[in-house]
Amino acid sequence: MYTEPTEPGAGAPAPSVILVVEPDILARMVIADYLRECGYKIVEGTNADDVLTVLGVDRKIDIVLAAVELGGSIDGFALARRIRQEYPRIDVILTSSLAKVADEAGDLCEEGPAEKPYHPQDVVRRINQLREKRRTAPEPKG
Amino acid sequence: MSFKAYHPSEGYEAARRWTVLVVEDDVLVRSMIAEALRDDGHLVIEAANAAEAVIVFKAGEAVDLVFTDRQMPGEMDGLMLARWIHEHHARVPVLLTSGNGSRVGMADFVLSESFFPKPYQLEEVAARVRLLLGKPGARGD
Repeated sequence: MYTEPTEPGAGAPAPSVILVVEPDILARMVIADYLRECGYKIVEGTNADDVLTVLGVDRKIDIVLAAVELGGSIDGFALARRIRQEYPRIDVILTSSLAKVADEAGDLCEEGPAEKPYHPQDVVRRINQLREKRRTAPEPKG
Repeated sequence: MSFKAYHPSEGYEAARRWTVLVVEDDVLVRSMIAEALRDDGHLVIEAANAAEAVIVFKAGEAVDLVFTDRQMPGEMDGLMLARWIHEHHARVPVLLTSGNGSRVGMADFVLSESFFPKPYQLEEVAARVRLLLGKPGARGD
């Protein structure tokens, strides 16, 4: 028997919120979209300052998924230490490579409220395709 | 190929989802705008600055409209980004917002309905996006 999906607010738990922190726009875009399709709400940040800004306004964040190399004066390790000290309820996941972030995203998706949209290895493939397109994009004239 | 797109608010099922590129360096503002547009049914790509926006275009992502702040750090501000888009992706409309409500310094390619002085309400942004994406000549028409 077909059952209509419940509307938000009809007793269903709110999706977990993941703050994805990745300085590479193409990687961040693909990872964020993948996790949204897994049913999570995603906030996107580019560096440690973004994370501290979001957390500083008490925005509900359940998980921080951050690249180790963030640029700036605070790397992922220092950021993770600070979050664990000041916001101990937030889970912090650090990733040092595309393969690692795809693995972690896949694990999160397994626990997420929605069906996995595609294999997490395709996250890596998609990011690499976009990077290659960008690398080979013709230079603008003038 | 041309096709007609309907907006859910008109009571028709949407033929496709538009992709909006939001370019804003303030993470809180960017996140709020992006969520408002996603709630309105759009696909949203978030860029923190003009350089990231250019990367998105160069990677071949299909973008139907760009919403960009004018004042952003880096070598390229929002107006320069709008000019770049006008030169290389002329069919993509650009919504330009600025804390300086004056249009002084705006170029003639920034249409009057494409300028958005701050402060603005999120519903205004969503309504203006719908207006621009419904115009003939927008991507896909």
